[in-house]
Amino acid sequence: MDRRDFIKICGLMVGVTSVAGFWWLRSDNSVNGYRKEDNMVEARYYEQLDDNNVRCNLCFRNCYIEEGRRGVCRNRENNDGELYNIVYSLPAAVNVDPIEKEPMHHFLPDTQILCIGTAGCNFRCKFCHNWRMSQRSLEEVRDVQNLTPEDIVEAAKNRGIPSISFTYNEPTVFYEYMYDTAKLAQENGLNVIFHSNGAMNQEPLEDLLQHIDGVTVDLKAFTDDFYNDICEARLDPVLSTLKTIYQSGAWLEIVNLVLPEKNDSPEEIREMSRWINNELGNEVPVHFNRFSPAYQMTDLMPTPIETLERCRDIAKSEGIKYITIGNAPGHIYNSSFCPECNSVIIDRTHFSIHEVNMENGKCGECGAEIPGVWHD
Amino acid sequence: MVNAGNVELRFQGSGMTSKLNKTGNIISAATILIGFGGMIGQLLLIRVLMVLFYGNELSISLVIANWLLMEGLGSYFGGKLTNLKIIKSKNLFFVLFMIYPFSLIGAIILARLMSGGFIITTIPGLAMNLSQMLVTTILTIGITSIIHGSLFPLAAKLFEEENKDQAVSRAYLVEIIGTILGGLLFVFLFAWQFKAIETAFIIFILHLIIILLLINNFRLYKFEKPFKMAFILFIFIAIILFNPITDNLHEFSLSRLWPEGEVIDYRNSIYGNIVTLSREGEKTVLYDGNPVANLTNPEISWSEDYSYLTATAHENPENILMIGHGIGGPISFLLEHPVTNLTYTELDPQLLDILREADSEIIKKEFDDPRVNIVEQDGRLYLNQTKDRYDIIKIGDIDTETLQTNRFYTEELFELASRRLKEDGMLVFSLPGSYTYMAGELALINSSLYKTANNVFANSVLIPGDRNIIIASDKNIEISPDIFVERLKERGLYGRRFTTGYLEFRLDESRIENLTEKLILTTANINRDFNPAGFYYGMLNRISIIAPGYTNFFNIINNYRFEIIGIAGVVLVLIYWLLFFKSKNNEANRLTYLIATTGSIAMSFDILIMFALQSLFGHIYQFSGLFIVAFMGGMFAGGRLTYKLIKSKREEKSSYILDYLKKLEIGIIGMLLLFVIIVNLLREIMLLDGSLYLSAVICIILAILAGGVTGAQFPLGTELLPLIKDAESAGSTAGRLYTADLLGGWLAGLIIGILIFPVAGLVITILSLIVIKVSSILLIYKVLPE
Repeated sequence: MDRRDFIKICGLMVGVTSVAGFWWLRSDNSVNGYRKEDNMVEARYYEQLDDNNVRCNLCFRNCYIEEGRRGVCRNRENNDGELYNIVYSLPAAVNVDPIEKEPMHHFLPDTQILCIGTAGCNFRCKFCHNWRMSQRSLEEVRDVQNLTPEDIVEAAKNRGIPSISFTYNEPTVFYEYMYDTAKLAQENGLNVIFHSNGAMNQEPLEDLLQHIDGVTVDLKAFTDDFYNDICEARLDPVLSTLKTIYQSGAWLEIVNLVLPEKNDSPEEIREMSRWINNELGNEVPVHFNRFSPAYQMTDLMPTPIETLERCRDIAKSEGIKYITIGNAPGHIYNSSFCPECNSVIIDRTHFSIHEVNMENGKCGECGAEIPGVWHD
Repeated sequence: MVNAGNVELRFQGSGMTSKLNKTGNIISAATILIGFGGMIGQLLLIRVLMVLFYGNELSISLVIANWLLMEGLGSYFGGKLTNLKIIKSKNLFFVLFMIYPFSLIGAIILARLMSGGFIITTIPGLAMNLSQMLVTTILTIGITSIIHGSLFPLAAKLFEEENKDQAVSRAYLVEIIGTILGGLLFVFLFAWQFKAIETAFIIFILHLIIILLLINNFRLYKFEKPFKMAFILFIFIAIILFNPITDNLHEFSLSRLWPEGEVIDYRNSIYGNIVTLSREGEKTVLYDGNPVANLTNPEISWSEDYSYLTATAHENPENILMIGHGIGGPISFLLEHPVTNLTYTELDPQLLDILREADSEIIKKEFDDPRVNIVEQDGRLYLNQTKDRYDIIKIGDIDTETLQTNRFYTEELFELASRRLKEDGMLVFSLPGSYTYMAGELALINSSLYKTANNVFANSVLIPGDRNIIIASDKNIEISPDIFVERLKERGLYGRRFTTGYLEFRLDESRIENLTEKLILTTANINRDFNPAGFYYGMLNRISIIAPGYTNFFNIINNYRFEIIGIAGVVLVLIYWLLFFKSKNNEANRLTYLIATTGSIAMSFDILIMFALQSLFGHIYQFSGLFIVAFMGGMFAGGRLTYKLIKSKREEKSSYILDYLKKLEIGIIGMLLLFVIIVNLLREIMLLDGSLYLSAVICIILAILAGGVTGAQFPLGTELLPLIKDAESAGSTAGRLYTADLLGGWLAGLIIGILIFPVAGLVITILSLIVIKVSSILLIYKVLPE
């Protein structure tokens, strides 16, 4: 036998083994016993193109999706020229959390929220805490439940939970599920909030906001470089979303996770604060949260407390009234302060509320109107 | 006239001998330096790259494997180069010998630059993904090790030109001397006394000295002896003492690695690299590149939660043992409870030194509190030796991603812990977790350790979170919010963060039940010292972050390991049959295969004995150093014995070589079996509180024997090959067999360390190695027809 024959035989063996292995190990379509085909619903906000291709118009990416393929979010699949949401009624996480965890500080403080999240996301943030769901497809997550919008609303009502939240991963990517649940929840007297990266297109957003009471938006940075390098996204769509939400009247709060050297320069914080003040209003609460290593961002030091305090000072100097510091339990600015008399209106440590010094939405000390959604 | 530095041939006979001896000595010195520089270069680059790569077993194996692979390639090409007519071997040797230290310095700087985004698209602070790690190792290690690998066959050629007799064997043995010296000096001096670039410069200086001697010897030009020595000494002192070059390069490369902070302290301990960064009033300590402590404002969000939940789970936590990751919050928060004594073990004394200098109130209190007793020792070793009994044994935030750290989560460790706990004592540890999710690799690691704890203790409880907490005890564990509130109120600790609302969220019954059920339903193996399933799952967890596309591959290996081993075995047998029984002129291939398999086994011994040492005794740096000496010393002794044997049987027929090879093959199998038996015996001894030092001595002897049988084969192989393959020069022989040895080691490093051993355990691994060795014995015995 010469070298050529030897190589031919080896190649043949490898080929046969690979095919056999692929056939033997091919994955089944079901996810935790639920067949994707039984649960998927036709997506909204897409257009059909030639050759069974489609364009999704839900978020800033406007994915061009060929037949049999999915969008960047991994949740919208083109089947025979029709686009489907494949995670409808298949949440990967259903939990009860304190509302302060969103964070949402001016919305029914010290209450619980029923939180829903699925697989998939339209961003690729390198520091995501929920990456095991958000950076995975439905099949990769595997562990999901089957909960219709009716099931969710009933669960919230049975446990006496006043609000439902769409969070953990980006809710845009399960839009139809969120929309139907939100509508039903409101009809049943429940509050509806969601936590977003702010990259939803205007039309679907406006449609959704009819059934939404509050939104927390991550304004991750104020440069396109950060959005591009660290989240594989863009800044402009987020700014548009913020304006749309603000104008709709839904309660809005903004979170900025401060990463050392990446998005914490004084100039950037000042520019961001100025924009919020000018374009949205100085009564939108802003949270500066401390970064700690997570997911792929494991080699970056945690945010210095001084940096967070500096960010707060800058935002305050630009006129922002309600600023808190998060992920730093015990810091004085975990609490909310009255912008008029500087007294503590909500005494808070991390997620724990010690005292709410307010009456009918006004400061308990000076009577200043504090914007938000308060208990009756 | 005799010029002592460059011996003129004024005296025939004795003068010629004198010249030859002089040349031989200098070539030997150069070859020693090849071994010395190579060992130090490898260890140095491993350290530098571990800071960039997160330092787990996967990345360590990648680095070592790439080094061996590239070194093997270099050796192969070096062997080919020795046969070139157009360029003399000695000139080539000279050039490559000069380039090597520069390539080492360049590799260190390039590695740090690449981590900062040079050449590859990455961002400082971002963990490199697998592809980036591969590219980085190829570009940094690749060039250095190819150059280094090519030096050995060239050196063998020079030995041959000086004296044909057993040239390759002599070169091999001399190089091992250098390797031993390099290993020793690195472990006991360079690793913690010098920065990486300083060490590389020292290698450069040594190369420079040898180069000058080589120039002198090869008669390129002359020096007066005193002037020459003074010149050499001057350069040496000048560069070591006045080294703005090394300092500047060092600072420049660090600034690219950590642009987010100013490096205010940089040191290498014997265990790792410790850097302190400063930014806006905050000082952060990075250990091997990972943030481990904030010195000004400790990160308390998690540490307070973990400590409070741990201490509150116990009715009366008076006596606590904490293993690792305690300073900077965890200890402080434990001490807020009614603790009368807290013992804290920390392996690295240099880390403790840095923490002592912190300007944080929290950290100062931890060191000054009279209740705290800090023990500078490996936690597992402390558990082995202490006679104290504790209410709580708490393991810090140590993950299972290396074989070394996985030792803290095995059934054997849990059994040891149970003997050190009081009747109602608890073991508490944390793992990668999630409030919301329990599936895939996360479920595997948690399930494995949860079940391992359940195997030892009567009760185990999971508290989900960003890190999951597992509490194990023989007594019933009560973690209801009501009980916690009551206990915290009794202790005067209720309020601030730990309120009823917070505890109801944190200890939500339905969440705990839901995720615990998923844990129980997940099929995961028990984690044991010699079946380190926890390590494999931890590695899987890491792969899901840095190389998510490969997660399925490693999952399949875990799920179908025996089937895959079977299929791989069948395919290998087929290839084996084709290669050795259907191809012509295969005798040289058989010998090469034999050396390659021995190289694999030597590397496997290296990994497994070191791992056994750490499992049984804990991480003791001096033992690691002694082990390196023992193993390499064994290789040298084995090689030297066979060298002497060959010399003594020079006049006999060469059939004795085959006889001895066969005996050594049997000897290697015997060693593998002995290894399994001894390691299991030692484990029983240690579990019965047996003598640490006796066990250590036994391990060292094992290392010597293992090195001996594996090292003895190479000289025999180099003696046999030219007899099989006509006109095979020393250079080609060295190139071929050294390449085989290295590639065997490469394969073992990659597959044994991160696949077979973690997935299949020690016994299966040893059996696999025995099968491999049997395959080479069959070739030697020619049992199967040609």
